[in-house]
Amino acid sequence: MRRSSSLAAIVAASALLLASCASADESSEQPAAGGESVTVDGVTIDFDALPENIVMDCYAYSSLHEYGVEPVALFGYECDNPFVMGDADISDIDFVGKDGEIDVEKLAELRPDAIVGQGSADGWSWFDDDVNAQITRVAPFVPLPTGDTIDGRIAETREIASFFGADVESDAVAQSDADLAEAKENVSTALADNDLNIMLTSPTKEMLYTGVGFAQATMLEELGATIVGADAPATGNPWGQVAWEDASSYSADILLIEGYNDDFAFTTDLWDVLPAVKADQLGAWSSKGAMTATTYAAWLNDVADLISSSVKVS
Amino acid sequence: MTNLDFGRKVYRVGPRERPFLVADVRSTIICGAIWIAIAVLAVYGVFSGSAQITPAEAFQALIGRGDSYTSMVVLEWRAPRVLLAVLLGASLAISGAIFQNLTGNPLGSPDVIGFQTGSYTGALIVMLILGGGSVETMAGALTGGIVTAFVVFFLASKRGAVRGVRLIIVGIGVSAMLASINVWILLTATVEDAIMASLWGAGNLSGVSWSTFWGVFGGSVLFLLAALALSRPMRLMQIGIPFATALGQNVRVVQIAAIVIGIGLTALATASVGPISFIALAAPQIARRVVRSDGLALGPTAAIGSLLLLLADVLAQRIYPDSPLPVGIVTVSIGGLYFLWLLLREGKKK
Amino acid sequence: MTSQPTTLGSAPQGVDPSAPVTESPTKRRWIGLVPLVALCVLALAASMLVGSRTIAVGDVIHFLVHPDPDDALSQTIWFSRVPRTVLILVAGAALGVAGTLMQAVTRNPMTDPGILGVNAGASLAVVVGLAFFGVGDISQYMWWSFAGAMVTSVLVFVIGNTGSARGNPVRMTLSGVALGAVLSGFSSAVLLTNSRVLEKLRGWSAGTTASQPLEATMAIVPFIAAGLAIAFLSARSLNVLALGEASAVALGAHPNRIRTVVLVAIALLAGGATAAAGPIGFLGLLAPHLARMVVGPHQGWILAYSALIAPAVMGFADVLGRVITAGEVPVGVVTAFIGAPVLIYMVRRFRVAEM
Repeated sequence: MRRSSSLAAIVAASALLLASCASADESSEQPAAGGESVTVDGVTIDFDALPENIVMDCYAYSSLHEYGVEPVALFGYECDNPFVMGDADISDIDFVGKDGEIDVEKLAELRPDAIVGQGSADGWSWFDDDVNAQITRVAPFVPLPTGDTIDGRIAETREIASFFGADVESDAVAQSDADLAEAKENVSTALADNDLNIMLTSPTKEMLYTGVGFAQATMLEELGATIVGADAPATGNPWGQVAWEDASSYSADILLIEGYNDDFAFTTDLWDVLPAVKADQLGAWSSKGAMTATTYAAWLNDVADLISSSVKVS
Repeated sequence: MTNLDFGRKVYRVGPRERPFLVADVRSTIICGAIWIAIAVLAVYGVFSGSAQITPAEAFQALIGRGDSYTSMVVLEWRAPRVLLAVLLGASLAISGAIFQNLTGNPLGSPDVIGFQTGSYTGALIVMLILGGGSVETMAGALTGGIVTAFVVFFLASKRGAVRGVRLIIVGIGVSAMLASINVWILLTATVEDAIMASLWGAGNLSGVSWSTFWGVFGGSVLFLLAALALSRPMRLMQIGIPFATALGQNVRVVQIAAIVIGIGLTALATASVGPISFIALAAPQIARRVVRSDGLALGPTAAIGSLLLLLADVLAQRIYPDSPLPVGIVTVSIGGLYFLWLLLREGKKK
Repeated sequence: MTSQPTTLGSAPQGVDPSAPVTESPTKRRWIGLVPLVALCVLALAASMLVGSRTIAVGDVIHFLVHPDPDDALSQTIWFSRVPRTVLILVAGAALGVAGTLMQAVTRNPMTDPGILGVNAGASLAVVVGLAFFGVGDISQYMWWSFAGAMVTSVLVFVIGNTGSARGNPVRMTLSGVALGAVLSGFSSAVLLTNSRVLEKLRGWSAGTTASQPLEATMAIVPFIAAGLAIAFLSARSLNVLALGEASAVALGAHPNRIRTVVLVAIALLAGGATAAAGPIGFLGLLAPHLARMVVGPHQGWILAYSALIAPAVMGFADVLGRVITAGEVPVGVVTAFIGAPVLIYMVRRFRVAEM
């Protein structure tokens, strides 16, 4: 046994352990009275003062940056997905972490006042509890709204933006609300003339995923659309799973594809023969895009145009 | 008692005729050097990082006089992480040494009995299907690993005897089955969830706090001390089981104790930070080569395990500017290097 | 010749006692082929007939003969069932034969391309190709897969057959498992830092028959065919090799030359199968064992039987995976579930030497 060297190790370790006792004496700071707060999904998050430095995940960025709220750093998923980020230039924004990882020291160094992202008051959805404990030590976490309706989420996101200092009474914002209302009208009208089935999809080579029960699907249903697709399994994944063999058994006239754009290159035999694909009645949707009236107005207008120009093929 | 010539230089502690402790010079010196390296690396890990804290500020924080920010970073984030890396590195390395001794094979490791894969399965079920938090994941990982170990032992024992070869093959079979379940569970989750779970499955020291450290400290130290106590009987068994029995050792008890300790050490490590690969495999072998021993060398093994894991973690945090990596990814690279080295060694031996 | 009662005992009437004794096993092997081919055909037929979508047998036959590009059922058959069935046949045969070759050349009954990490090496090559070299579709990344399989086969062979591991099957298996773990670890490392590639390869990495269209499978057929040809042509040399290194040399064979050729075949077969279907384990382990139980230690026959047993098992596994849940369970998962218990049963029932 190498006791002498083990002894040295124990002495060194004791020094660090003694230091840990010192840190345990820190008492938790009491929140200052008369501070600011914001409420999301019924949960109130308190701040000592209005936050100025904000760190966001890329989902939050896509919504908030439209209101002019800019972060000091980003983290999270889909940061290189133009569908989520739009055409914003983020090349000069710092990253504190990619995908599921985060560098808490880098985060702390930025001295942020708030962290915004998808999750709950306890932290981000995809960090484990320990990491969330660390980041909420640095700054309070403001979760993005997860209500059932798009309108509700747009409204709550706007509240968050206004809390961070954006001007939500401006003409541009009011105009976007008007645009959204008009776009909804357009969709309803188009559907009244042309009652077509719509399926929200995300295709992969092995499986076709469908979005039934997503807030976006509910929104369309409220405007009179018939949404087809497989229901999601009871637990876990919110996407419905459809084997390619069964794809054509869902009679869809219009296919909305997550991530669809002009460069869309997905092809597989059983996708290509779907009547909607053959008729090129394809459009875009996003389950994680920006939660703003502008974005949804644009989307619904595109959907309305698509409905008007499409025919029953299924 | 005459002066026995062990063939190499030794230290004797205690009276000449009947020393308390006979320690090999070479291995003591090397151990000492490694622990110094660990200390240096630990200091580096505590004093440097992404947060801009000068060494002077860090030192102030260590002696309890830092401001709240520095204390948080240095004392609550960096210090427990460094200490846990040292502790778990030693645990994993000793566990590997035990398994290699038990199976008589330099490639024996806790995963031979499917333990790591089983823990991952347990953790995945909790994380992705039941939607549990940190504590539940730990419990799931522990349960998964232990149940798997039991199943493997049960399937490998025939009429009460567990033969090494059968154990290895059953372990491979059960591991493969669980690995495919893991792949399938990951497939049915959303991409973000799958990435999050994979980061756990790679072995991850992020988020380590003092509560994590103290949580495993007691158990790990207990098992480590037990392993130390067992080193003599295990070394005796290396001569051969008939010899050991003839010398009065209860081989059965020693084997069972060794298995329990080995699994216990791995279980604590895996449950707290996820399955970290290759420390258990590589550290004992590296230790033996470096110390030129032909049997168990528990002290150097623990030291090298700590050094490897600490080094891997320090690298993992700093190597990629945009985002830290899970420590398991770096230890896999260590595993790759170990294999390369093994190849070269075997090639020369021809 | 007159009867020799001392050697043959009482010969039954009408049988020539001087007939060669070896006729019986060979006859048995030929006869055994018949039910095996039938089983294989049954598995492939099941693959054609069974799937998420229920199609009547009559419809399947009708549309196979008269394809109708506009009919949904015909599309399902031609775009899903047929490519998957062809892939099962091609990849299954490739994996079964690769496993047989692997067991023969390493003289180790506990190996297959999955266990020894060859599939992991092929996968890693594909992952690297996609992540760093922007490789697009299978006709490009199958080359990566071949290269990865080749390098890994050589590595495993060198680790397992030199120095202290020489001739020790357990040590070689463990080396292979550890090497496979390293290579999968590297794959994970690349995938975790490249989430685009992870999304793309998630389904494939479980081992599946659903990823590739028919053209893609046909792209690897020439290579699989080459591998199979090399395998069958090497059958005799493998028989000699099985006698042991010294005996082989004494009989005038060149063991290293044989091994090199066989390793090339393994790379083609395992690499091709992995490129098309992702890493699938246990087929290469089970097929030769089951074959050996029927035909005995004759490499040529084991190869032939494996080439039929493996697709049969894979076919049934895939069909099971299609119907068992609402989504689909990939075939790689099912083969592990079938293969591992059989492996465990075998190791409990028989002594390792008998395997």
